[in-house]
Amino acid sequence: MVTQETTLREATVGPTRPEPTIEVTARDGGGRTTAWTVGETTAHTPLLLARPGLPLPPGHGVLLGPGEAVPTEAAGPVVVLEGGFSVSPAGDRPYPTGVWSRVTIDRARRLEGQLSLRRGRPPTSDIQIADEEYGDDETTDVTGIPEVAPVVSDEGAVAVFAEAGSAARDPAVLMPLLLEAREKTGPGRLLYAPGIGLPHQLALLVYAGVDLFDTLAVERASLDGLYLTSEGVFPAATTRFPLSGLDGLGIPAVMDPQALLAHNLAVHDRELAIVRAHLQNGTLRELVETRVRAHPASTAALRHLDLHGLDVLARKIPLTRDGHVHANTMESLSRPDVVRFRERIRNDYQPPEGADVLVLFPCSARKPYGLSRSHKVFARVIGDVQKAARIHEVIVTSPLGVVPRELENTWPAAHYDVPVTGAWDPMERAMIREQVAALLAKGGYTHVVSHLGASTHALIADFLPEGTPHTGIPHPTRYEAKDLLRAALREATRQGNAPAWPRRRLADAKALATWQFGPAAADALFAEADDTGGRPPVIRVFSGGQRGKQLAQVVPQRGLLSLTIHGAKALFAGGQAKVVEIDDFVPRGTVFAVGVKQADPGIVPGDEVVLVHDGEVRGVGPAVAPGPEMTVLKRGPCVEVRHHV
Amino acid sequence: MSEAMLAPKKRLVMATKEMVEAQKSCASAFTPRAETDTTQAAKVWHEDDNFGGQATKALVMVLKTRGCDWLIKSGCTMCGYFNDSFFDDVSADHIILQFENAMREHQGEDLIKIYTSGSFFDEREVPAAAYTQILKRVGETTGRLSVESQPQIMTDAQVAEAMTHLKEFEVGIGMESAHDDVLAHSVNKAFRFRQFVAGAELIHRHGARAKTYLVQKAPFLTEREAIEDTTTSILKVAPHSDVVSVNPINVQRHTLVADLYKHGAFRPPWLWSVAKVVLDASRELPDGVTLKCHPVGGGHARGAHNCGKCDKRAMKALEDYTLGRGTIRLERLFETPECGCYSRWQWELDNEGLLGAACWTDPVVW
Repeated sequence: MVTQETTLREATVGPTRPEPTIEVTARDGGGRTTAWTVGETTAHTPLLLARPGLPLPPGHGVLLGPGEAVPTEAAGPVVVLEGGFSVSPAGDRPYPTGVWSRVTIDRARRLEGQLSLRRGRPPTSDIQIADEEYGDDETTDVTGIPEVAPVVSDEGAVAVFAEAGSAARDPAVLMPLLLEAREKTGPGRLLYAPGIGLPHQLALLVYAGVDLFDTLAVERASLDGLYLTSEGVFPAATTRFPLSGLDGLGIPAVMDPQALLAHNLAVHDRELAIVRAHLQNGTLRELVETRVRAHPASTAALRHLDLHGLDVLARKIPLTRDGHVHANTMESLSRPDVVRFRERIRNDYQPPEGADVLVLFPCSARKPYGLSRSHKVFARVIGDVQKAARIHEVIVTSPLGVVPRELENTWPAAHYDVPVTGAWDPMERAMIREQVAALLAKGGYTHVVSHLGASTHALIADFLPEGTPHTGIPHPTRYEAKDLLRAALREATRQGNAPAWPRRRLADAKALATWQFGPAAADALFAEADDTGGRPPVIRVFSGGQRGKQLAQVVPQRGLLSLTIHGAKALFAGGQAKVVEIDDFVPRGTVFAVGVKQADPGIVPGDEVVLVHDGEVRGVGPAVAPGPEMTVLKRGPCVEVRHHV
Repeated sequence: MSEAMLAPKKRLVMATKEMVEAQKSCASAFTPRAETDTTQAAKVWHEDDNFGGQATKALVMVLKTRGCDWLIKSGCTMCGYFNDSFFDDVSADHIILQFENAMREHQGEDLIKIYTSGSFFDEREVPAAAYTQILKRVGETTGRLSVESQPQIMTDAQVAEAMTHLKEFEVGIGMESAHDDVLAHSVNKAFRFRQFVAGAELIHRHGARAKTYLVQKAPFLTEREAIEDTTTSILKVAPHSDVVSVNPINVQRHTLVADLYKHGAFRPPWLWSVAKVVLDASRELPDGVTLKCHPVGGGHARGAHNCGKCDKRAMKALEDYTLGRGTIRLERLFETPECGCYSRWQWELDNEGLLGAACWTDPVVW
């Protein structure tokens, strides 16, 4: 049976090493909120580690250097950084009372770190491992640099990205290193990036995966006379109208150093709270895209992150969820979840079998498209066509490119908003052309009808088949256009036969499955599927007819196929299931990390996963955590069980 | 075995190997200038110096040689001396010619200073014939010579021979730091402290003088560590030296330090730090030992520098001290810091150790 982890090996923090646990409470992009528990005290990340004595409201952690005394009032996390040239490693010293984590930065780390930066490639050892990890292994071969495997443990809770301070000079260097540090740190520990992070950079750095920040960058900027805001940095000397109310000091007549520091720290603290709120709201990416406008190099940093982190980040972002995507900026085109959608269309998606007449529609402001007035009109026109089961509707849009009708309820297709002006920018043009070309290249269409607006049609007209009727004139929603569309579709479907509707719905469900699971898994799932039921957009998939076994169902709220236990078994038998190995119990409700033995590292939150014990399917349901986290973490929900044996 | 599991000392050895490799790759990126006339010295100039406690005029020459033997093999992390050496086939005759040509500039200066961008006593760099000839000629003119060498290379016989020609002889040793740890893992020095002690003893045995060069802020040290390193090094080398020269590291081309600098992993020391080292060490300096500090590139981004506004004041205080005018200006520097960057410097001293493997460089806002 599933049991919540209830025992903590060390109840109090004392001279012995504390036993911390990390539980992820929310995820967005590469960022997350976690509950970091030591003994009976819990702190929540992303968290600020403050140097002692700074004017900050309570609720932050404390950062100490070697030999500094733990402040008596410290009620939260205390992290001690030790080591250096003149200070002997602290390994054999007793663990200071009240300290949550102690990390030793020895000379070798400094040397390695700076050399690795110089080489301009990811360092062999970019992470300072908490001192607990040090073992004095006399048999170690020092002649070569051993391969670095991610050291994953929840004993040393804090991993330090030790080059952060130097790498941060150049976002092009920082971003790939940061991503690698995050991967090496693993989900079971907190990533601390010392010395970096001004208020306007916090959203981006959290999105990239940093859990812990300190006050050093803000203190230094204050000494440099910089006035910090969430939207950027400018010299305090030019500031005539400080933001009042933030620092509780009113408006100081002169920006004296203390007032400036207090202001900057207050802004920093507040911005981290804003980041946490957006993260929990699922809108961190939108915040990031806003904040990086502060400086061209910040915007470049986000682009570098997208460039290098596409795969890494897409593995963490849920396949489906609530909440809107606001595609406001050029970077929205390259956000990992959006790119993932487009890549799956290009690489995995197979159009429904038997639907050989392609009709291209413009997108609508209302989502899902089917609820919009324009698309209701299109639906009625299609209803006028006798062999409508041959028609495959595809919506041409930005930033998703093309959205087949059977995918219109998926995320973010059903959830995005984009500033519409009617004019496409060059990046959108290139992206749309690429997506449409990829769809046409999949073959199988005997006819194409373009019901797009004039500008969108012109964008792709050159690679549409010769003689493709353009019916969206003078405007796709005008009655003349309706008539043209009807006529063009009737003409296109005149010869040949249409599939029966149950068969077509089966094909639609399978097309969705190719996007959701990949083509091989779709084949395995639909190998014995022969009938459908339900009323679109709900489609139930059966094998052995409607009285046989139900394999899956398209659920409009998720926009995805939900598997039954039979579907899970079909996928598992075909070797195509994403499997979570569990202990010997019947899963009900939620499977927690403590019950997971092993999980497919390819699992993305929202994926349908099959719960297996000892080769036997026990249940099925959507994942709520990425696969690697299920294996590594000791706490937190992993799978919402929908069906069990 | 994960690297993270390695004991610090093991990883230190590994990282040092990487450092040596990195330094070699820097030096190999340097191509010696072709078509150089090896009968002319690289540079010749006149300068005022303090020699044996007396203000002296000096003729200084930098001779072209095949270059420091250690630099060819491996090289120190901050040393860009190949920019003035690394010449092919410099015969003894040519070295003598260089010297003679340079001596045409001699205008009655009391002191001849010869730099070879290496070791004057190393026969691979300065062949014995040239060595003897130069000593003879200096003996005939001023009788006062200053050269530089690694301490473990010079022999009893060489120094004895020199003293037969010269009235006063000063040998400079680039010790850099008195801490073997720093020498091994930050500087990549060819010798260690005990070899320096033996060399200085040899020099003194023959009645010559030892001038010891130290660096301030070898790479991979924090600002505070560097202050500690140099201050304690001064006091450790002083009993074996007549003159101690503190040289804040400046960023020279084709060095590991230059590469670190470029990647934001090295900042030359603050002039505040240099002043603090000189002031602190001057208070405990044994009698008869002269402490000098003339920061090369001081006040510039690639040399020891402060914020740009107060650099001149600090440089002036160091210059005054070096010219024997006492520590008054240095003391005043810290009594009335005046400049806003003083508190920034203090803050960095206290907080750089918390930066992990990074260091505070001049800030870049993005």
